[in-house]
Amino acid sequence: MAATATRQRTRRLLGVLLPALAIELYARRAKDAAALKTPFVLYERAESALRVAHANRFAGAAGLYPGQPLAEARALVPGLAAAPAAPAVDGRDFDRLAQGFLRYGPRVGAFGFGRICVEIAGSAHLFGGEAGLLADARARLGRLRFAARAAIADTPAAALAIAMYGVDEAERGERKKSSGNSSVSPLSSGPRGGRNPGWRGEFVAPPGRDVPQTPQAFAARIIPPGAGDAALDPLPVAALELDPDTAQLLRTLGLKTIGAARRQPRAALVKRFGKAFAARLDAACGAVFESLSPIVEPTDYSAFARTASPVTAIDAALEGARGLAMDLAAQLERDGLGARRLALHLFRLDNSSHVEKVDFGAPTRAPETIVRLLRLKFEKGAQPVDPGFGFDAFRLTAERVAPMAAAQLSAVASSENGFPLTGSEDNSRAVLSGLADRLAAALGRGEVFFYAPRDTHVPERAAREVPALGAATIKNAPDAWPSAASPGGVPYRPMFLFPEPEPLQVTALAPDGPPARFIWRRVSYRVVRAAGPERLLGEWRRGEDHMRDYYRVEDAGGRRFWVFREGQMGADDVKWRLAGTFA
Amino acid sequence: MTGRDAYGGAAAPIPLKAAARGAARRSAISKLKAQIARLEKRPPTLSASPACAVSKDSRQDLAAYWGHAFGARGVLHEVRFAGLEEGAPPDHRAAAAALGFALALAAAGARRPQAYVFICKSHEAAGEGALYPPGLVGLGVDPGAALFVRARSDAEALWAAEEALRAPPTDGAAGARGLCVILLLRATGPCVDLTATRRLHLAAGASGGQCALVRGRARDASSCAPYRWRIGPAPSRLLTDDPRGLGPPAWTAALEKGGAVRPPAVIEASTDGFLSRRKLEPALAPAAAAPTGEGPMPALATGSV
Repeated sequence: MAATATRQRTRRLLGVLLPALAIELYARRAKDAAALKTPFVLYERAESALRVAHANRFAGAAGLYPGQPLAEARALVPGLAAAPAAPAVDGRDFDRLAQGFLRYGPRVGAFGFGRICVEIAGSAHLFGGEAGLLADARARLGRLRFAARAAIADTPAAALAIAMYGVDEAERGERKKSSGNSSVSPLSSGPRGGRNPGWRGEFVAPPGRDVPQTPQAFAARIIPPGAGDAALDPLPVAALELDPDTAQLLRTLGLKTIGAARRQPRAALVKRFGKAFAARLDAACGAVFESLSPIVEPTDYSAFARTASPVTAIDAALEGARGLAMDLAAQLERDGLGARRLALHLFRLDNSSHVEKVDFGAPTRAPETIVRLLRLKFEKGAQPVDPGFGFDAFRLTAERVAPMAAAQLSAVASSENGFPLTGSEDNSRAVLSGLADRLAAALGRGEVFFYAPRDTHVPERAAREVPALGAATIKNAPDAWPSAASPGGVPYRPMFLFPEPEPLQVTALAPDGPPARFIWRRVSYRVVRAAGPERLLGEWRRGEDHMRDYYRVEDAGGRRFWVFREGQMGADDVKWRLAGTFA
Repeated sequence: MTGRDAYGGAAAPIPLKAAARGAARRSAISKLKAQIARLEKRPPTLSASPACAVSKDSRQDLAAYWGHAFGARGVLHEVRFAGLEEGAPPDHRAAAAALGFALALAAAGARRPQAYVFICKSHEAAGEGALYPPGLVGLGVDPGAALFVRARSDAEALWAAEEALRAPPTDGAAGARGLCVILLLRATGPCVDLTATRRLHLAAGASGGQCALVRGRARDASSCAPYRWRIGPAPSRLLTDDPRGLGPPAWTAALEKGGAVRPPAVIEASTDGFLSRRKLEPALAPAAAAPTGEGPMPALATGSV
């Protein structure tokens, strides 16, 4: 377990709890400030009954709790304000909020609604240490008027448990003693008057706990490395995220705190409360490694920078990206890699963020190329970037990387466009790939493509589009395409194919012969020459039972068409269609 | 010139010109290649069916006819669909013919397979037929090595074309040269104007690439292209073994602007896959593209813009 121990020591996690998030989001959406000042609940329909989903602090003080029938709540608090909950909208807003936490570290995990964990072991120094990081978070969440509890500890479970149950205890103990304590951060902000919704909103009244008298908008605590167990011991067992039955059982048996449970013989614990409980206990204490499931795929290659003052101009943002690209290029070059996909996160002042992703057909690390593609994305992208109140931080990550050999740049080839000019014998593939990157950045990934043959005789499916961005490695063999023309140079297949074959009115001299005359789009054509039929059947495994006889026909003016007859010849339901036009 | 022909046969009754002998040799080689392909049970390779290649002799012939307009590189060619008669609006059914001719133009300027970029508008592909890769193979394009771009608007298509033309030239044995861009706009709005086409022309000149603007209906038909072609289909050549069967592709081509003032000619692919100009009696020339006294005088070549 040496590896585990090593990892354990180096792990630091910021746990953030947004206890009243649902009601705060509602108040913001509905512009209903009263929801934060008077008893208020959000309800949802559960099994044909309306039940309280979220209750604010005042409602909690009046004895309301989540899961309570709404009718009962209304009976307890006459004139209770209530609104339906919108979990889908809330979830989206929460996701956006969680994205904003990527500024603190590349691995951000969401542990359910309103609970976020960030790995900060390697990034806290960017904010002047863990206290500086918490100060930044406090300022940011304070601006957004979200009540929050935060803790920094060695494991995700401990950080979240302490954020939920361990912060206010420490605060109150602190106030009683009115003396300094190293484990408590001096970051707690004072009561925020009417704007302060309190923090018991969502976790109203866990049994056996009283509501703090002076709820604060933000409180935080830093648990020094290795001191997690001591900090966890006084917390109630409910902090371990147990299922309600187990928690109730533990309380009934008198094991009210985590410390009390930990002191029991382990074998008996597992036997009595199950493996799940022991696993939660181990995860909280760091005996086993609990991973985050990151909301954004983490990567080994990223660069981060903050600006002295927020920027709103895209050019300034791109200038910032250029610095990051050079930083990233150095990291990639060290490992002999190039980026296949980059993501530029632009963090706004209000904790929201904007992500712009660019793909490369071939591994790339030239900063000029990267900036040029990003510029195309910004200028020609589907939706313009909204800087809001300004961007104040950037992160550039290489989400996909591929080996990239160092290439000797051609001395004469100008790299004005940022192309990797290798001076090879025939670099048309590289040129097309670079072009495809730029076109796809502006027009969209699916709009720039090569074609690859498909092994089928059904004309509509004979070619498939291969997005040019991933296709640099596809080997194109011209022989793979079906024979294109007869030995006489007559093409077999048309230049244009109609996605839906066009209906024709046909006069044929013989039921099994080519058309002698047909009407297409209200214009009549006299067929003077025809070749065929070429009989193509539908693919049985797709359930296509049609039989088509294709003819290549030419009219008096030299126009060439590809027409087919569908159905058994001579039958009543014979249909003629125009499939395409020849050059 | 008298003597024996290239295959050691008896002396030809009529002395062969060097050009004709070269064509016969190529034809024989092409047939042999096709035979080998058949024996090996594989489809003829692209080089064996160069539907658009131009032999040296016919290049000279075409250059003599149009004054080097055919296949000129580093310029913008405007290829317009022919109308049903002179002065009539362009006939959208000539789109395939015009595209085929644009590929012939591209191939005529190159001695080896080149990199193509096809740009078209997505809604036109849905309504009027989409580019069909197996059909492009028949005209010497490898769809796996050509880039296809779907634009949503004229402006996007023009931007993409210019971006492609400004790409650095590809290095090859034949020297550096730009990409060959086929810009297919069946109906163009007001943004395809003098400025836009001039930008394309300059971009093509800078990189040594070639751009063919294949267009039909246009609100503003003016353009800066030094060469403007009007292309319609032409009846294909009769095959001796199958008079009812289809012959190789043929186009009626009129050079309306740039180059020498000439009556429309029929360009066709011969059975061995090479392009040539069909010798045509004036009486047989299709009326579709024949110039009449009332029509506008073809403009003179401006050469460089």
